Parts: sequence; structure tokens; C-alpha cells
Amino acid sequence: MSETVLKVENVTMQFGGVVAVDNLNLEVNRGEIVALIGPNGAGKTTAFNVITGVYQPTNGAVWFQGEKIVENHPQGKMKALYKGEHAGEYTAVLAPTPDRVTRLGMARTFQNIRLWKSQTVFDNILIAKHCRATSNVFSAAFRLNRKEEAEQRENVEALLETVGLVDVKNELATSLPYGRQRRLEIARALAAEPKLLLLDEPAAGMNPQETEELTAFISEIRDRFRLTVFLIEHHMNLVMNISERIYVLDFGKLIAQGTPAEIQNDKRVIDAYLGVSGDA
Amino acid sequence: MEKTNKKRLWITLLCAAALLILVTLLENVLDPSKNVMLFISLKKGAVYALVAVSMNLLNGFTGLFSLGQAGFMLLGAYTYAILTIPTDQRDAVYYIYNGSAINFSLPELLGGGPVGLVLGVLLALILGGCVAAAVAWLIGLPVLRLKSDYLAIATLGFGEIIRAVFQWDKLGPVTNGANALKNFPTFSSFNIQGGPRLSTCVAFLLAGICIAVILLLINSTYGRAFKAIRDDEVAAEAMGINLARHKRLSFCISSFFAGVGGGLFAMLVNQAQAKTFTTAMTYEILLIVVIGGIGSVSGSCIAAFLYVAASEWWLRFLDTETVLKNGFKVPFLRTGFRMVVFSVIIMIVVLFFRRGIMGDRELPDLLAGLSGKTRRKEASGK
Repeated sequence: MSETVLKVENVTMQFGGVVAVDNLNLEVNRGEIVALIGPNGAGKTTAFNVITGVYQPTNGAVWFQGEKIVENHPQGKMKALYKGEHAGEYTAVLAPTPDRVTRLGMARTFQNIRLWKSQTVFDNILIAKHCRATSNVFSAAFRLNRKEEAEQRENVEALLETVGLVDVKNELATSLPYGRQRRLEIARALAAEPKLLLLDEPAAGMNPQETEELTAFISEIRDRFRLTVFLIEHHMNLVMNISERIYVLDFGKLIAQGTPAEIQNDKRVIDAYLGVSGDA
Repeated sequence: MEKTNKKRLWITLLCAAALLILVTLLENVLDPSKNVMLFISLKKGAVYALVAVSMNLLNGFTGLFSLGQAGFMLLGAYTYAILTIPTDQRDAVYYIYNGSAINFSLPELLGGGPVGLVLGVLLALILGGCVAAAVAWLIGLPVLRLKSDYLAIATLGFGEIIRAVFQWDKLGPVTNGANALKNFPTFSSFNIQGGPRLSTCVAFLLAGICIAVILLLINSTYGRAFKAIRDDEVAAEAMGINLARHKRLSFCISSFFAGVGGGLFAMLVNQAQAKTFTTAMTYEILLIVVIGGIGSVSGSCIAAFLYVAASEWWLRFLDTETVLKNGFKVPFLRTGFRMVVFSVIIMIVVLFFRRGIMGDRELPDLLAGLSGKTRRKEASGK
């Protein structure tokens, strides 16, 4: 049952002399919703960028569905500079580009919305289907891939129906209200047919009602698409409501992990991040 | 959605067919010797339209700011010329180098006569495009890692280098050094003796087919991926679009059509000479793309014809000193004044059409929009 989908193993990310992520270890199991929380600058997004191939970690490895997809060890100047642990344990270099990681079955959204601004809602999702297209440039240009194209369009239509954006499908992506842009970005990630969905602060800038809708939406798509969800978030309501497990990061280091109840009562987490609750 | 797409397709096809028929009729009804500038403008407009659209594919649709267009045109033009000069003309063309190193000619190899001519010209144009695309692939390896202005500078440098290389004396037996290659089949070769004149029609047809292929590509899944890269590279990569591969693809395809456009340009001016493919030519094409609207194929086409007609034809009278009947000499009119007025016009156009004539819309959108509006008006009128 609890098959590991994502495993981050001894990952350290060091920029020059700054250790942004320090010896991070975490696991996400199939079907779970797991949250990564922590104060600003704790290295949450950096961890995401390492997992999705945007950054190459300084040391450590990332496993996805039982397969090692990222691995690195300190090289060149970094050999002398390296401040982390587990030096010398990793020898191989595996550095896939983000598009490869996505095609392996991991899709993400961004902290500040990154939609394709000049495209319609429909096209935004249709473009995300491109990575699953099998036609080459000739068959695509000369319309020999009609069947695939029609299939893609049908899928996009169905997806828009499920996420409730079908009424605005011909509008420009940027003309949507903020909450729906967030929803569109998640739908776009779903179009890439991921097994693991990574959400970077999906509720950032949302009002309480929008946040509530989003919470329901995330659980709903998890069940419908049989997803595993790994998210970064500051809205504690959302995090405590939907996550099964939580990892807490502070100054690049993992300071706690556990169920929402355990995290809420963890002294280190309260000191570092949550603060004393109930007397605000 | 499907319906509007079909409608657009029909409007586009009808426009293209009507244009082709109109041009052919014009050429056979009007006397070409009396309307030289009209037909030169039409042919040059068609060639420039193709090159502008190929540049738009890269600059407007993929968001790669490249200025190597003249260099790729040069490659296409030379490949076309070298492959099609008739064997009995080679000694005359390459007289400085005592004959050519390449002693075959595609139209002759393919059987000679009208069939050989058509097939040979087509094959040579396509090969010209292939050479340009191959070179683009090679220089794309290092150059496409650069972004925006840096990419522009690198490709600009490439254009200059290629021009110098083709004028190199040591390559003389192949490229005829700094001298022009000539006597190859041109658009006029398609005027049938005693029959219909087809030179302008051929120029339109060839450029039109190429533009149609680019349009098909832009509206395919790859074209959509290009637009995604233009809009947000980071998001595109995160959504599984291989940046390196797609940029290279766009660069090679754009260069392929620039190469074909170069071949057509050689057919237009009856010669291929490295010194004509200057940076100024790239800027001309860039100007057409900007005036037409970055990201609009029909905009590039319209702007190409307007630009060529204005610079070559409509403003010619400004270059000749004119004395009116009462002895009044019109001030300013003298050689070179045409370009002054032309530059002012360009500035005015750019001031009033900030995003080009068409923005990023296409002609069928406008036409479909117009017809929709009138229909709505009629409905509300009743």
C-alpha cells in the first residue's frame, strides 16, 4: 500500500558559501498529500527546484517511482567549499532537464503564476499535452496526426469540464480572476498526465473563501486522477486540513515531520514557525 | 471552435487563390515593359514576404531574436545558383577561375526542357534551404544557449562571417569569389515563348507554398510549443517541452525557408553575389516584421508588399529633379531624397501602429470578425 513515489535522499544544495537546503531527507507515498512548510527563506522552493530538475543539487540523490532520477556530488571549486554531510557517498552525476522530469510523471505549478499569457485557457492546457504527443514535426505540420490532435482536444475539453473552467475556455488566460488562474495552472499541470503533482504555494494571495475552494479542489483531483500531491504552503488551515503528513524546514534543515496533530504540538515548530496559537 | 477554424481556412485559401489569379491576369493583360516597377515590386514583395514570415517564425513565434536572416539567404542563393547554372555557361561565369569546380546542372541532369527546368529549379531551391538549415543546426549548437540581445549579436556575426567566407578567393572555383554568379534560370525563364507570361505567378506560387507550410507548422502542436516558449520559457520547460530541441527546430526551419527565400531572391535579381546579402538586408526584413506585427504572418506579408512598393516604386519620383512647366524647380527632389521621405514614413507608421499593422492578429480573424459584425448588425436592424 504505502509505496514510495518520491524519495529525497541526503540532498544538500549550496550556492557558493550559502547552504540553502541542508541534508534533506523525505519520502512521499502513493496517494498521499504531503506538505512542506517553514518560514520564508527556509529553502522550500529550492527543494522543489532540485526535485524537478531546475537546480542540480550539490550532493545527494532524488528517487522517483523507484528509479534514481537525480544524483550529484561536489565537484570542482565546490569540493573545498562544501559544508554539508555525506560527502563522498555519491559518485554518479544524473542531471535531467526539467522537461524530462515532467515526462517521467511529475508536474508542478509555480509560486507566482506562470501561465502562457497570450494564449487562451484552452490553448494553455492543449500546449501542456504537447509533451505526450508522439507525432514528429513533419506529421504534425502536414496534419498526418489528425487522430492524435482530435484526441488531445477531446481530453482537454474533458479536463476543462472536470476543473470547471469550460465556460471560459476561449478567454485569454490572463483575463481570468486570480483564483481561477491558480486553478488553470493546476489543470495545466494535470494535462501533462503526472503521477506526482507538486504545488508551490497554491493558495498564495487567495482570500479565505478561495482557499477553502482550493482545499476541496486539491482533494478532489487527488481522488479523481489517483495522484500523489506534494505541496508547499503558508496557509495553515489548508495544510492542516488536507495533508496526511507534514515536513517542516527551517534554515534549510528538516526540523520536524509527522501528522498535522503532531506538528501543531511540536515545540521546535512552534518556536521556529507557527508561533503560539490561540492568543492572537 | 471547429467551425471558425474551417471558416478561417476557407477565407485564407480563397484569398490566396484570388491573389494568384489576379497576379497572373495582370501580368498577361498589362504590358510588362511599361509597368516594370509594378512587376518588380510584386515579385520582390513575394520573396520578402517569405523571408519576413520565416523571420517571424523565429522572432515572433518562438521569441528568439535572431539577425542571421541575410546569411541564410546567402547560403540558399549560392546553393541554388551553383546547382543550376547550365554547363555550357559555366566557363563564361567562372572565367576568372578558369571554369567551375562543379560541372553539372540540375535542370540538365533532370532531363532538360521545361520538365527538367521546373524539377531542377524546385530541387535546387529545396537543397538551398537544406544547406541553410544544416548550417543553422551547426551554429545553433553554441549560439542557441544565448538569450535575447546576445543571440542577436551572435547571429549578426554569423551573417558577416558567412559573407566574408563566400568572397574568399580560395573558394573561387565554387563560389566565383567576390564576383556574381549569373546565367542561371530566373523567374523570367518561366515566361513561355509566345504563350502566357508566368514569371510573377511562379514567384507568388513558390513563396505562397512556403508560407502555407509555415502557417501549417505554426498551427500544429509544435507551433503551439514554440508560442509557449515565447510566452514563458520556464513554464514551457516545466510542462515537458524540451527547450534545446524546440529552439533548434524553430531555428532550422526558419533558416530553411530563409534559404529558399534566398534562392528566390537570386531568381529575382538574376544573380547571386555575396555583397548583396548585407546586414542592411536583415534590417530591412526585421523592419517588415516589426511593421507588419510581430507574431502575425499576414501582417508580415502585407508589410512586405507595402515596404517594397514604397521603397522601390511609389517614391521613385522623389529621386529625379523636376522642373515644372513655368520653370519652377521643385525643391529637395534629387537622388537620395526618396530614402529620406521613406524613413520619415517608417517613423510615422511605427509611431501610430505601436504593435505593427496587424499586432498579433491574422487577416482571416479580421475578415471573419467583420462579417460577423455586419451579420449582427443586420440581425439587430430587423
